[in-house]
Amino acid sequence: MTAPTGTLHMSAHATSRPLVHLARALTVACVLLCLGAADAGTRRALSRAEIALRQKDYAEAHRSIDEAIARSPLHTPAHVQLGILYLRQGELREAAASLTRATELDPDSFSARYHLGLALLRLGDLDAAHAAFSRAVRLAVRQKAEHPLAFYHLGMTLSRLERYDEAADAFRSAVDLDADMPSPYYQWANVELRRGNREDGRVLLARFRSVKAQKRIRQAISRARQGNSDRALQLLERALEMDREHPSAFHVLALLAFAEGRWDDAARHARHYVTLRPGADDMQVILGAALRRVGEAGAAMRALTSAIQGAADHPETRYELGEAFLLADDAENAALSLRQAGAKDPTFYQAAYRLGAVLLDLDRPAQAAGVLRGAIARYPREQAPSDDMLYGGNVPRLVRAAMPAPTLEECRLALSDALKHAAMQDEARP
Amino acid sequence: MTITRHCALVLLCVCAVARGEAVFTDVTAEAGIDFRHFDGRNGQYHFIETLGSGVAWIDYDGDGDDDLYFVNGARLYDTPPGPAPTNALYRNDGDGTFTDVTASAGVGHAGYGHGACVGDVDGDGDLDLYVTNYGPNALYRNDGDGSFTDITTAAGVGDDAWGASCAFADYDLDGDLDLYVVNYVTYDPENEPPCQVDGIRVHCTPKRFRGAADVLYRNSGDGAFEDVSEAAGIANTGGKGLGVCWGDYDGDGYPDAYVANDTVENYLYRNAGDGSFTEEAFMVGAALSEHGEMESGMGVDWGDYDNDGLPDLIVTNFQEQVATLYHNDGGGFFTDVSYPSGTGVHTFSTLGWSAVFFDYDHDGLKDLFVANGHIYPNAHEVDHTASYEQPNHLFQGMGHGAFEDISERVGLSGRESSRGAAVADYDLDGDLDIVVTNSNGPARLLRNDGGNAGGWIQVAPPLRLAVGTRVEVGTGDITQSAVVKGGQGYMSQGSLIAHFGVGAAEVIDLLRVTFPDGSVVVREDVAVNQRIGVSP
Repeated sequence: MTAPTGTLHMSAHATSRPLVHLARALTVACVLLCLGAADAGTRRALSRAEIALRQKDYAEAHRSIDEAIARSPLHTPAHVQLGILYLRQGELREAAASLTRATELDPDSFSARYHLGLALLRLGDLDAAHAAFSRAVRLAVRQKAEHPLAFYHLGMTLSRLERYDEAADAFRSAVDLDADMPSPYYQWANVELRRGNREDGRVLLARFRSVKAQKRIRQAISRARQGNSDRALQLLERALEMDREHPSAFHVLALLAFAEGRWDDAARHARHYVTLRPGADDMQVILGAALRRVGEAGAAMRALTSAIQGAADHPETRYELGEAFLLADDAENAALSLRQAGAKDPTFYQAAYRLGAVLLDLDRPAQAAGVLRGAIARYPREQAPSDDMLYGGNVPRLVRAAMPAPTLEECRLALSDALKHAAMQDEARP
Repeated sequence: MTITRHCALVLLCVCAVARGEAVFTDVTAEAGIDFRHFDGRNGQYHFIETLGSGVAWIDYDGDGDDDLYFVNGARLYDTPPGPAPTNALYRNDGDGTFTDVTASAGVGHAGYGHGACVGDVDGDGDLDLYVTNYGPNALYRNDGDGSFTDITTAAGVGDDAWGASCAFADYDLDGDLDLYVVNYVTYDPENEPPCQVDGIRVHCTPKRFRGAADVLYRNSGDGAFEDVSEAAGIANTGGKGLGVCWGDYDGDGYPDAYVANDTVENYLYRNAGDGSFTEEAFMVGAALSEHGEMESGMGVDWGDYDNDGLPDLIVTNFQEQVATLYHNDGGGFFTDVSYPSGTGVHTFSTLGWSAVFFDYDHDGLKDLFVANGHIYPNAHEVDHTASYEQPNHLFQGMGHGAFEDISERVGLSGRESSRGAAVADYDLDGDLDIVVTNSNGPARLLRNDGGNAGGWIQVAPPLRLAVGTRVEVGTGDITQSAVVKGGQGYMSQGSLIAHFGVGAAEVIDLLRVTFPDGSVVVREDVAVNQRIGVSP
């Protein structure tokens, strides 16, 4: 009898021990979770730290992170933040220690591994840096997150370890993830050159220059759209410092110059661009329009004709060609071109107004009056200029914006003049 | 607060001396040097005010001790009238003091000066002097009687672009010194844009100006120089050069030129040996930072800091860039080792100018001095972590490619806005002293006290052949090497005497001196703690 009781007792005891363990484990986990989880105060402190870091107020950043860690000692992001702060301050050993602590708290924290790798790489501990970046890269892949910088720094580390094949693979991965990031091209080129692949190295260096320049060109376009053409010009010059024959830089330079009425510059840059990109028909329009404004009728006509024969037979191209003919004292062909401009876009009141003037000069007032009536009829009620001085790179719009825009009153006066002349012509007729 | 700090520093120095460590003592006043740089500033934020000027050690009277030549700025078109500042030559009197001999020597150039370099251009055995200016540069021929004659026009070296640094070398190995002049940007102080950062008026940066092509003058050997920039392939208008230093990075016997460019890529002109150069910086990994960023190159020096026989490179840059230390890996490649070496973390927060490799403590490892100072006098308004006056850096070579910042420990924690710097053993006590110029401020002569505790050797080639002479010093398993340079750092010139620390070695096992003409002198078992003259 006792045995079963004992057995029962034993059994009960045996059952309760794991439960106690489980309860204890749950309690510990709960405490860990609580300490590791960020309460609102911790989150606020880390936000403050982030702002302080941005403002380079390292003392405040330190205070805030310390507060966050005091509130949630097991909160991984707080330790990562502390590591980043130390990195910024150049205290690399402290950074490595904080980030190592972060990786202990959360072995799957990408940020902790990646920043730990940075600290170790700067400390020259290449093997440890390699381990950190390798793990970071694996985490990034597992978490389906794109972290080209992790691949880039893995490549840097492998390159320092003279493991050039693997380094090249890492740089290739970085570039695959972000083709617009210049640094991997630079380091990849270096690796290829060290492997004796001079041609590959050269190609990658050229790519590096181009990507770097393109980045500045994008910034320049953005500045131009904000109306800051000075800054845009500086950025474009900086782009050309990196890649002296970058076509896009000349493209934007030409558009910017044209938008600002710097016709000589516009012509120069447009000419450079069409030399680099012979099939650039839209740029032939800019070239022609700029050239006729500096009095080079023949060259302007050649550029505009080339544009028309290509893919840039816009109403504006015809208009500009008309103006170029006028410059060359060829009013008949000017009238023809302007008429074609109007035919392509019946709302093109500038072309109609200009054609009216040409027809009057050709002593065809009745025709002029007809055209001018059309101009008045289609005169836009509101003309909203674009906020973007480059009109989003839309060449016809840019060219049209540079044309004289007669007011409605001027159109009416021109019509009245045409009608008077037409009447006089009628009276004079036998 | 300041007094407390000052006391702490004095205590640090005293402790350092007590430990038998070398410290640097500011002896400017007691040495009788009262040079003060003048940049013409008058509140108009002229870009030219930011550059400051350099300094040259030049044993102009051939008495064996190095004299000092300071380059000065000038009044600008809108600077209120006043006395015209000039460059200044101080004769070393051999007793720790100097005497201003500018007037009698005839080298008191009154232009807006920047750099100076030294070499015996006419092979007459005394040292001539080249000065770069905003405006025509000047070449002074040493007449051997304590005076100089301006021979700029006759020599044809009066380039009138904005000259920054200059450096002599016999690049074509024809037996006479040629001259590289680094030009900065095209600039007119009367017509410069107003610049701002976050709405605060500041000096412009070079990004607002176009680069100016450098000039290479080939010495024809008949007193005249020929501008061979185009033919040599260095007339590159993309550069915005501030620093230049010759060094044979690929060991082919022909000096190559490294140019530190401001805000654009740096250039490394590899000497092809046929009178032409190819620009290789990108290909060898020495054009940009490790991450491919163009930096603000200011000064440059070559030095074999790890005693592997290959000259490495230091290039100083703007604040929040690091002074880039490029390790020469051999095979024509460089690696940016700024961070692993330990210099990067410290130079990130300063704006560097002159940089000099030298062994201040005679442990056989080259140390590194960097002169620092911001370009904006109101730097703190733009960035609260920045200041116009900054402490200079001395990095002690620790071996295995590592450096340690020991600036405070050796008494270099004073804050000024330094620019030029160069080293020489002016007091002939066997260790290297430093002279520093400060932008719009007084120059400083920093005497090395205690650096001579370890053994040393100074090798003095004939002045006629000094520039470009390579000296190797072998003690035990270590072979140190250095090349005598005709211009280095930022707009500056060091002594033409090669100087090595050899620690506890009692004898130099092997001394090998290779002259620019290829002749070699080898000596064995040379006693330490002496200066020896070596001629081919």
